[in-house]
Amino acid sequence: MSRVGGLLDVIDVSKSYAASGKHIDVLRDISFSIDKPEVVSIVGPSGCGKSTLLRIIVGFLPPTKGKVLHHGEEVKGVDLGMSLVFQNFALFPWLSVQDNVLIGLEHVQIPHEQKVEKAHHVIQEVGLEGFEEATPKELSGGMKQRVGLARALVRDPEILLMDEPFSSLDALTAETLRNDVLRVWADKSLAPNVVVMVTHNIEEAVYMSDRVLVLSSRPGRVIEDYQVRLTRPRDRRSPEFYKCVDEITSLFT
Amino acid sequence: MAVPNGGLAFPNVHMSRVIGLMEILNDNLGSIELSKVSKDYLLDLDELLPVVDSAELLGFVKADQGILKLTSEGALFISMNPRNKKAYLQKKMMALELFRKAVEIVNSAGGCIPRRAFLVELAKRYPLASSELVDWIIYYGRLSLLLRYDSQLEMIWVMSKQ
Amino acid sequence: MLLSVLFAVIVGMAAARRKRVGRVLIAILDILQSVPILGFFPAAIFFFVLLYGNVWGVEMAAVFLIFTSMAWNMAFSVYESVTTIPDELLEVSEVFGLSPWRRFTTLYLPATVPRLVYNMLLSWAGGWYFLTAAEIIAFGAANYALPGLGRFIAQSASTYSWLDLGAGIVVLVAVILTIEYLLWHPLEVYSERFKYESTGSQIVRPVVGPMMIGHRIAHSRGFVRLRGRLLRRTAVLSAIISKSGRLLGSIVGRRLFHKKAFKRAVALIVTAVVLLILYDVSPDLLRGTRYLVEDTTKLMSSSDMMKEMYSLPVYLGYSVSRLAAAYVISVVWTIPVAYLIGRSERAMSVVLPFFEVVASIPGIAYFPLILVLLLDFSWGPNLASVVLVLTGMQWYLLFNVVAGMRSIPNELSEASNMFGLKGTRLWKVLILPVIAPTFVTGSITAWGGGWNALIVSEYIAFTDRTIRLPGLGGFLDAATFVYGNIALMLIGLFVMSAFIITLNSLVWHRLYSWVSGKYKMEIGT
Repeated sequence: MSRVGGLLDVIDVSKSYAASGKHIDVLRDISFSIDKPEVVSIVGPSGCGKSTLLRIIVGFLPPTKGKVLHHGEEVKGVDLGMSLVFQNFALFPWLSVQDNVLIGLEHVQIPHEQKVEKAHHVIQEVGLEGFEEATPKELSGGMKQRVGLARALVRDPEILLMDEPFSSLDALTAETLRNDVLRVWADKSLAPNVVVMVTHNIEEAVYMSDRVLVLSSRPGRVIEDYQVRLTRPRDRRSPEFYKCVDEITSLFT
Repeated sequence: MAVPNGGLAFPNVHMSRVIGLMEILNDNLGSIELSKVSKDYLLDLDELLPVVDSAELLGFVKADQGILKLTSEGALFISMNPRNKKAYLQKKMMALELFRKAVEIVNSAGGCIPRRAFLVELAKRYPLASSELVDWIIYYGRLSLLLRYDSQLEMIWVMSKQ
Repeated sequence: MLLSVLFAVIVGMAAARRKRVGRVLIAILDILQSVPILGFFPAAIFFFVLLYGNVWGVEMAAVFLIFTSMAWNMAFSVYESVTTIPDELLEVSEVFGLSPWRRFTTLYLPATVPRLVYNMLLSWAGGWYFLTAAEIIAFGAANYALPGLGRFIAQSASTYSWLDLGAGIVVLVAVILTIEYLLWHPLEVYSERFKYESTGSQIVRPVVGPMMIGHRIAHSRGFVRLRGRLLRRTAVLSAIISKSGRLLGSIVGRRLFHKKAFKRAVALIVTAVVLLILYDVSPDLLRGTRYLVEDTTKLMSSSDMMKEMYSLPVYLGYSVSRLAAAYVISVVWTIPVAYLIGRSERAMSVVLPFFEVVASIPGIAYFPLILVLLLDFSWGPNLASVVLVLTGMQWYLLFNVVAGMRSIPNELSEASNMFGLKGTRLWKVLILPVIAPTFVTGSITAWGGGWNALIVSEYIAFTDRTIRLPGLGGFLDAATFVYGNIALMLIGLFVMSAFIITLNSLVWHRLYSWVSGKYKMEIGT
């Protein structure tokens, strides 16, 4: 039974592992749907399986039970309409920025010149114009993550998934990058429509998202699907902001 | 991390940190105490001060007795779209004496020069010049689309202005 | 083994502490390490026998051989360990005024333990290889015989008594395995605690299944008690030494250690000792040179020997082509297998230990068998030689490449999966660049091991006939056992060493710098 118009449906997803005779439940009965353009954060204590959930959505890992639907079709293996940004950037150290971004188009069947054009365009979008031939060694952490972002965006995915994308960056750089991601998302002429982000930083979640899914500790279950009804741009020092952060934090205890 | 340029007037932090600082200022209505930034964002002064210095050099921020203020230029800059930001940055770079000289050096070598030779020439005019300074010149050059660099060949080019 | 440990510690530390001495020593060690030891063995036998008579001479030659196989590696590892001691620890020992001996025991020695143990393990395994080779070679030269397993094996092979041969091999394997499990693994596990890195670095051996034995032994009460007792005994010893050292120090005054006069005095004593040794050895040396001169004249006058000498380049060519063939075969099978092993945990814990066991059996043990089987084919001996060289090469390559495969960062694999890198693209973009450095290291060691195997493989004596292949090894063995001419031997050794050293510097070292520059993985790229 698929939901009509559901962009992304996660239905009763559970995941468990059997390791050295022991049975470990990582996720249990996770269900939620996204059916309009929005930013969703997934937060929870460490070890609660948020990264695992992300990888199930993207198609890396199969759920032990339940399924993930993208526009009504079950996700099996990697889906062209989704892209992932990694916590530690996952760039190939021996490829230039441009070549790294081009990897994002590996799946796509278009002539090479078009690929290069698209890569250039998205490199510009993330503010790395001028660095196309640089290698990751020459880049700062923030710049590397921009490459990761560019690579994820270059194939115009409908859903952008991010796994703790800013946790390896310093506070100032992370701030800039968060705003850049929001800008890209808000821009109607660019994909993606939906952003799903895993983070352990609740303030970050409240700053960026429309919804915050709070997971419990292992085995992870959805405790709450919290709606953030603040208008953007959001003011971190406003009392409403604090209230949201407090409310979510209290769900952990 | 403070990178001593030996007192040479050139920014020595990545642009995203400068912008980050500017956005914090923007959130705080254009003015905030340095100590508050340090406390709220868990950054020690060792990290913050170079960012402040670089931001001042670029004319985006003014520091006065522990209080940071966003200049009108700064406020303008962060509201720009990426394209205009680049153009603005180009103007700013060429307004810095050190960068102008750097571009001169590359031009007088025919528009293209090996990194080592570049450092030698630079040191002639600025005896305190170091390899790190060259890194920052290259970084800001690339960022403002005024320079090109190939790390394999270790060659610096001048780009025609856009 | 003990000799080499001592040597390694002394030389390694000397190299690490004094920069200039270090550079010279390292260069020498580098050369020594690359020259195949077995090439020297016939010459060594000859030499030692000449000087010290039949029985002792051969034993000494064997010990010398094994020593050389172990010492260089270990000295290197000591050097590496000492130079990588974190600076802070060095400073601490300075600040708290630790006397030199204390510094030695609490800082330097523990620093060297992990690598040293690992190397001792490898050296021991290598030692078996050389030992059996030594005993077999010694046997091949009918006059010289070393009692031992190797000789038993060689004897049975040459008399075509297969049952004996089989028994010999089984015994050999059993002994190797027992020592491995009872001694080395526990030691390895124990040495883990001396590692500096907080992230436990991977030992290539997984701790599963049969390896658990090593763990259990290491943590068993018996072992711990034994260890405790040993440590206490040595603690007493080291306390005595440190006390006397301190006493000496206080008498002499700490400042004096740095005084020039003191240093000069020490240098004087050392030179005196060296001169004494030289004096003692010189009559033997004189005798040796006399033989050398005699033999050179003999060489010049014998047309047979001259012919051999002129054929040297040809021999070299044959040898190198055998090596190259074995290398290509190794590469072709190890890379796919390493890939398969690297990507599955299960394979790691099952297949890898199996390979390790197979790898520790010296190929030399069953070489005679293979040779005889293939004798009837005209290309038989050549093939057998290549096979033996293979056994000397492939394991180095395999284990190194497996380590490389394991070092592929998870995130990069996920990214490759995410963006659809498959097949040849995946290999080109991800796998080959990541394993490139380990592949080159593996190749370098593989060739090193290959040379040794090659030399053994080109000459073998049975009771009814001797088989000699055109090649460097054959030449060397012939020079020793057929012609008995030192000059000829030396020429062969020289050619071999020169070739290997040139190959190393022109090809391998350059390749390694290029590869590690381009493909080095930073932590957290």
